Amino acid sequence: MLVIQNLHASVEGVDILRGIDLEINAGEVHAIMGPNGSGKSTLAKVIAGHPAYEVTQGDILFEGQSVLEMDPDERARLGLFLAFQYPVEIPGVTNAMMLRQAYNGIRRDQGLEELDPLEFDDYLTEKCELVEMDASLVDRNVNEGFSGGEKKRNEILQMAVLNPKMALLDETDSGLDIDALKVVSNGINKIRGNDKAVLLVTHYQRILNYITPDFVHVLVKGRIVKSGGKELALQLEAEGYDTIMDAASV
Amino acid sequence: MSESPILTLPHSSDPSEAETKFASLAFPNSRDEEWRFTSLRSLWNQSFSFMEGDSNTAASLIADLDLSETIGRRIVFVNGMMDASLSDLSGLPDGVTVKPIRESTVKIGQADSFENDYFASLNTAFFQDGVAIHASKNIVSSTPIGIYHLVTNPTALVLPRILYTGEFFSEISLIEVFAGVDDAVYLHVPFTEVILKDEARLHHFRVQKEGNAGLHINRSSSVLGRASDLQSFTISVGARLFRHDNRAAMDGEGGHATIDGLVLVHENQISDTHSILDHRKPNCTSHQLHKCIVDGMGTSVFNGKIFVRQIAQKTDSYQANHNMQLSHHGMVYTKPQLEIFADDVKCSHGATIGQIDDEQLFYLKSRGLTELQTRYLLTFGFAAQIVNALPEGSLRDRLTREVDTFTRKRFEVETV
Repeated sequence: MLVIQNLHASVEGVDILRGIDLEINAGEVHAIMGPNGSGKSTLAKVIAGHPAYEVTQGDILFEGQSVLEMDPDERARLGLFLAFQYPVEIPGVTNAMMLRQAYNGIRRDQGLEELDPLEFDDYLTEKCELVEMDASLVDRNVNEGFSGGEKKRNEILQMAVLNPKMALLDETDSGLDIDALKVVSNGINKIRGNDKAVLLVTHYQRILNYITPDFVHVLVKGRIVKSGGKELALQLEAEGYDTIMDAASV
Repeated sequence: MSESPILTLPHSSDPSEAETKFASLAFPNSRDEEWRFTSLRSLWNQSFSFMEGDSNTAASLIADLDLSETIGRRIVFVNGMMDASLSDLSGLPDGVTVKPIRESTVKIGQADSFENDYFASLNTAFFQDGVAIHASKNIVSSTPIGIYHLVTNPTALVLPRILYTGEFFSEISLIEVFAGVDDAVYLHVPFTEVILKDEARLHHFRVQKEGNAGLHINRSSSVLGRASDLQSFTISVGARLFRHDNRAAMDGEGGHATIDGLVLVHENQISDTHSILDHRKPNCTSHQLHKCIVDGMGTSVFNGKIFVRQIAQKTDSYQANHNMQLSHHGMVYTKPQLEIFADDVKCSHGATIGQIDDEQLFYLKSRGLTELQTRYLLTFGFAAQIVNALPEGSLRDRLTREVDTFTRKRFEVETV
């Protein structure tokens, strides 16, 4: 579904990603782990098309098609979704208003009838239940005045509504207490499916207790230095990143 | 070419003090500090005179405005004269009276001093008609009273006068609407005075939706008694030129004034807000959030003065002017101004001029919204934030639609 080939990316002239190769198939969950500053979040943002990052080499293929020349909205309409580490507040725009326009845009692209506000309201309520989110949050301005946990949960709600093929979760677990983490993980698990893929960027192994990854990759200084199964996450948790960094001599 | 308008005014053989005063004043120009950034060129050499209005046209303007919450409580002026057939006071709350201003026992000119102001003096000397609205002690009513100022003819000179007095512990809501026909150059110079006695509250909304060639120069002056509360909100959408001098003086301890504003300008519109929040007594608070969206060759001017007199200790005042500039040709002038003579006060003020935030843009685009949809939503949100603070009702709904229509047009986004 997603193929990353020798990806190099920089921001303001500083190289952050220095040759990443990764292949993610439908139905798989991949976890990207790594110390601070390793480029984990950059990878997620580059895939989503953040304009601050420049791809200097390599390619990103989504369902066989290069997305590098595409705007973030085109990538989103193809089925890529980024759950932000720090969700942005949008004053004056309600969640419902934003999501209805985004969802209808996707339906339009698929040649489907758009939902009117009432129909969309029903659809949204159903998705709120799915991710155990208080339905009153949809009438509030996007992320404005939300607690840290509510913001993260709101990202998962948006994912449930837009129903992407591939979700990029950028440290969705950070800043969550254990109850919120369970709720968010449940939401992600409900949306998982054989036709979907997840790339989960995380600093800690904790969330992998709830979302079992098929593959774990360790990113250090812009390169994947080790890949393995879920046991790799446990090893990292026990030994820290130092052992792997020493072994990889980076 | 004369650098002033040609006004046909009633001639009196025995001029009043106000008429003599007005006759001594020169028409302002850009050398006047108060008119530095707002050109009055569009008034030059134009002739204006009192004209009889057309009730049918006025009725259709009222219908377009669609403010159902004012049904049964409407005071309608057409070309500056109260129109009895369109006005309806059947639903006026008990304890609220509306009288012709010339029959009122309360004197005009108490709320403010405006000696050298050309337009305020013009209205004071020559106002055609007006009403004095009076809310008795303890009267509380949440259903608003609508005051419609409508203009139906080109070249009309329109000078209405409103005086509101709220007695102790009264609380009512006024919606003043200014509207006129399109493609007509007329001069609308209304003057509204508000006197709030101790503990009185007033919700005062102004909707400026004049015709696209209309010229509107407005004076609003309020004086606030002990622990009284003024909640004022103004939206400026229409007119070729709009100037609003909005002043609130806190003249008793513990008073509060909010004067928020929203300005939407495009094409060659000019919208200018000059405000004064005058803290004359201790322990008063004030709040001003003034937002402007400027597109096309539009101009927005903001000059917000806050005075804190020496005696006005423990003043708490907040002022912010945020401008969103959508085109390279638009102009934004902003000047928040603090003059503090007391030493124990809390005052904050600031102004921003900006475009759309890149992180917000990326966030919404990553949800699949196109560049134009995203820009529309962010611009809508910038303005809606201020409209959403209004109480629920037909006014808020109407203004939300107004903001939505304006922003959709900017980005050519269709209604979903």
